[in-house]
Amino acid sequence: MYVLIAKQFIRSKVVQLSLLLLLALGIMSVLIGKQFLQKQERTLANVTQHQQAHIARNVELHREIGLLLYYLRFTLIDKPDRIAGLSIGQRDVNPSVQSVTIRTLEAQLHDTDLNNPSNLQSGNLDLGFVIIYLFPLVVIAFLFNLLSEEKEAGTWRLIAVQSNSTLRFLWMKLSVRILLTYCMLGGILLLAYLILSLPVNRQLIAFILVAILYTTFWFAFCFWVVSFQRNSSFNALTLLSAWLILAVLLPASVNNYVANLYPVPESLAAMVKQRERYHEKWDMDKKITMDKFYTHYPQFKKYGVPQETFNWTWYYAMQQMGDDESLKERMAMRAKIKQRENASRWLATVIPTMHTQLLFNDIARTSLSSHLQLLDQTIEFHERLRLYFYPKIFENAPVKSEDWKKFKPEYTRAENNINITFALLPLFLLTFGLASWGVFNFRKTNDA
Amino acid sequence: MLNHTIKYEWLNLLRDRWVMILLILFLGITVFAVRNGKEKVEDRMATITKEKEKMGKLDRKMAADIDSLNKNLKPAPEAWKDPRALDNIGWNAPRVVAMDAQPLAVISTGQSDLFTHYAKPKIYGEAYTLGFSELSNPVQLLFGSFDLAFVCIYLLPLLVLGFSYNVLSSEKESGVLRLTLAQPISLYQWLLGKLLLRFFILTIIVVVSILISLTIFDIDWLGNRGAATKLILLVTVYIFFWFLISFLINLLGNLSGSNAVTLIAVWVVFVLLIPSIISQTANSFYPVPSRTIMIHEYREAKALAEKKADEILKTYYREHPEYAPKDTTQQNQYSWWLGNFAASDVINQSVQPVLDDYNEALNKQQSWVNRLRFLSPAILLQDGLNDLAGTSPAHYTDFRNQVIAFADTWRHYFIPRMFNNEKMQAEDFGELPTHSYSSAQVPSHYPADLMGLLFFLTLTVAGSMWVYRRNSFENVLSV
Amino acid sequence: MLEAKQLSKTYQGKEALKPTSFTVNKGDIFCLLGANGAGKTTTINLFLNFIQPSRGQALIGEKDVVKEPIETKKLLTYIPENLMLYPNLSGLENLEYFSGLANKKYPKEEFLKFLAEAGLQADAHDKRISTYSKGMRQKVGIALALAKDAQVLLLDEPTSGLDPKASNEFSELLTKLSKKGVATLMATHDLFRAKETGTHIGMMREGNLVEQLTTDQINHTDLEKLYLKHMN
Repeated sequence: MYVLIAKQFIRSKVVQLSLLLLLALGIMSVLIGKQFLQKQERTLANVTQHQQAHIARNVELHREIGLLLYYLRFTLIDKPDRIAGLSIGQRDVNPSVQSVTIRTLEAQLHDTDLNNPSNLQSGNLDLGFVIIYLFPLVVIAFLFNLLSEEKEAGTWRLIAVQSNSTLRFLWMKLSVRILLTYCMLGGILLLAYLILSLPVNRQLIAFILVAILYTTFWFAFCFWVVSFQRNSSFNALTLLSAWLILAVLLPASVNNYVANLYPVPESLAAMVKQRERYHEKWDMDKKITMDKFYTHYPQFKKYGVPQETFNWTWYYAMQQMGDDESLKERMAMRAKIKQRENASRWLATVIPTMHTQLLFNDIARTSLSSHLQLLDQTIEFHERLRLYFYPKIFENAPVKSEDWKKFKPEYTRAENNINITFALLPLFLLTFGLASWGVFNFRKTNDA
Repeated sequence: MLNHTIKYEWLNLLRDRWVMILLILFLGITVFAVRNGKEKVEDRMATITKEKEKMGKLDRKMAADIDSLNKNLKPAPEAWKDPRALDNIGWNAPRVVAMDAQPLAVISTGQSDLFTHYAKPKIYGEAYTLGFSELSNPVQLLFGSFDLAFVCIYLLPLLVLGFSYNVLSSEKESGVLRLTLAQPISLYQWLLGKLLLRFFILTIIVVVSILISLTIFDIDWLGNRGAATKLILLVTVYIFFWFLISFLINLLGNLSGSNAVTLIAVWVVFVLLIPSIISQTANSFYPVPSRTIMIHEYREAKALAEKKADEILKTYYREHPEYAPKDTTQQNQYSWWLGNFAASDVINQSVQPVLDDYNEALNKQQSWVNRLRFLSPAILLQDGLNDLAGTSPAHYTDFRNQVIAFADTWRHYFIPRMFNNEKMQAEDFGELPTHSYSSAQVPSHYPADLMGLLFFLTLTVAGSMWVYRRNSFENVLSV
Repeated sequence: MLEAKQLSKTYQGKEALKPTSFTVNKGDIFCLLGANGAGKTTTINLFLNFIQPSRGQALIGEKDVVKEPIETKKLLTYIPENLMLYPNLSGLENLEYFSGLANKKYPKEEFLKFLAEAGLQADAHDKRISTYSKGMRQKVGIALALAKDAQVLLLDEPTSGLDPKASNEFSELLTKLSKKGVATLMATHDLFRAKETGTHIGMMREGNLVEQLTTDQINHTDLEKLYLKHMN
């Protein structure tokens, strides 16, 4: 019986075509992920090479350590995981490499790697995209006429009379479709594992779990709509409208709403402000600048207030003040962005498409919050460098006395602390709820 | 016969509740979308206005200062803060080079979300890039912002499909079709009549919705009738294309449910997949080197050249004797800057290859995307709308060039004067070079986009005739 | 008026209709009898050009229905087994609509007269089709035949699902039309009506026209015996 149902399903041209299309797109998306990873690797290799050459060249050129550190750049790298190839998120735009001097930080933080702005318009065709937006369409195509095709062909009367439980019969039809879809999902994930050489770790398992749960949600949703036992046309229209709302309208509206709720001024403004403050300091009495500086770093008080017109101690103190004083703006903007993110996440708990997208990005460490973490770590990195070099600058240590070779690019890792169970809960509840409601609907008509 | 069909079709539609609901919903969405567009444009303009005001204030202050200094009313400040120093003006009082919004800018955000719309080029600096805005949206959207372009490109086809997916299949399923086909009519003409009516109704409602929304938000479309007509024409052709697709699919004679699924698949392909595939392939075939690295290389080369500034300056004087100081005893107060100007040629030579490589790769990508836009009506419409709104990549490239050109003008105003060791006077503020934005020289994609859409129309008409010939009534009726 | 010349139709190797020839003249009511799947509906569909013959010709008014589909449809009216109309329009509006498709325009009163002549009660004329019974819908079909002034009537199981009174009314209308010179081809199971109203009878079995006779040649009982004989 089961085999017959399976045969009847697989023989349908529509089914074969959609599976083929899905497979092709799945493979393509994995290859796109691979391309992304390769590009990142190339960039990182480049940067490492550059760093050495850059330091060596500048050490040759500049005699004063103060001047040298004006030019010298240090690199912090957050290497993307291989699983980022499955959900590229914002990693292609926000660079994994932060290269900073010990001068004012604000301006340096926002060099993006933006090459092709039109990419932003359509998002990346990675595997996450295929799973979140295209798999549901296939599920809809498989399920919308689960019951109605029998009714419209007239065979339902026959089945209703003969089989022990119509629900059991429907379940058999349903399970063929679910099985086939999961096989397709599994197959594509397997290909991804092979092509991208993914390490088997918590991240990969989390990704697979989320993908399976998300697909199950759509099965539950379609089942629920079908359980109202309307005709094919109604089902198709309703399900497709639902897809449209969940995939397109709601995310756009939420983004809009959240952006209006927490407006974020362009960071350019913050940078400009910091520049203007910096210019002011050229005029201010050196003592004022140095006093502020020493309040921040009392350990350097012993270096006193320089008297010459230009002095590296005072110059770097000024740079520091530039940062200190734009700190408020920077914190405010960061807080706004965090608020936006939190609001989006809360709203997304009832929007499975958005929620899953955020989850995928979190797992792959390609979300906005990962990038913000990198920025935080850059700030820390920057601070460390400053504190290391300040005494050397203030004492005007000779350039040769430092072992410049030890400054290689540093690696860091923005951690993703996601509580997986908490993250999966909304999806799970929705799926379970809809499936139960659907079963209840069918039972209701059966008993009548 | 066509009129006859239309009259009764109209009656049928009028008595259908869903139709009315959908149309009212659409009007609401259009108003919302235009409002979004307007907000963005207003923000953009407000920033520019503020900057221009600041510039004006600073000019006036500096002019006043120059006056007082010349009359010895104030003590002279340090050299690099003296408003009479040309380098001070060139560096600290730059002009605002702004990209003004086109009249119909609200219809499409295009790339305006990604760039800042003004620059203040100084006599020395990196004018080759415009600032990029920070990306602060947590969820990267499938479709960008919710503006009128979004509504027209993505939602309008769905409205059309909802209106027409079962125009033949519902008659077949209800059984009326048998009676219709027993009449002396051509199925093709009859179906076309039904679709044409729906097309007219929908188009009128869409156009009216758009015009009402524009009016509510004070967009002067009446005063810009040319652009408004182009907008309406483009959207109408797009709508017609989707009706024809529906016509073609209906002619295949399948059930309503299958039609719905097939049409959604067509929508996914044209509106989601093809655009995505095109930008991905652009990245594969024409990979662009890392911008971060490019910037670093640029800065390195510059730093090196700056170091050698003095030597270069001497060479420069040899090659440009007209600039050599006449009185060698008097130190030119701008010597540091002059060194940099002279060095800028040398710097450009060593740096240009880096920039060229980068720009060439970027251009290749852009032209690839441009050529392939003819593969999808959705891309053609997006391109056309961006063109009308003045937010297309071509516009931003052009603006960038305008900024670079002005930076040059600005520099060349000051260079000769600085070489002559002149000073800034208060009257000079009126003579400083200014910039006014014009988008007239941006090559317009609109005609090509319109042609592309018309070509799709033709293809679909041909396709439908072919399907009609191939499919006899047998399939249509499933007798 | 109607002529089948060696008309046959084959679907994927199976002959649904074997080469068949018969003629229906003006005023004739030709009843096609036979079991389900015998080929009655196929024959009617061939005359409607809903399907194309594998061989042979179907002629209406001496015109080939395949070569001149529009011309031949001008001459006929078709009433399928379950006549469906537009539910949101009234009986009158439906009649006006379909007549218009056939290029027949009349003032409203004329249409109302047709509906009355077809036996549709006056208070139903302006009600929506969704409120009509099957019999009422069929009457609209007859009104259409009157409005079109059709010379040929093609009927597929017209009396199935009608109660005896409605069935009778229908027969009377058929006779009326036949007197006006309309040639009727009717597929039916109803032996009684076929003998009562029909002028000619054809029996079909497995795509074959096994028997052709006129109704005055046979009585009710013998007709039934003959029918059963062919069905075995």
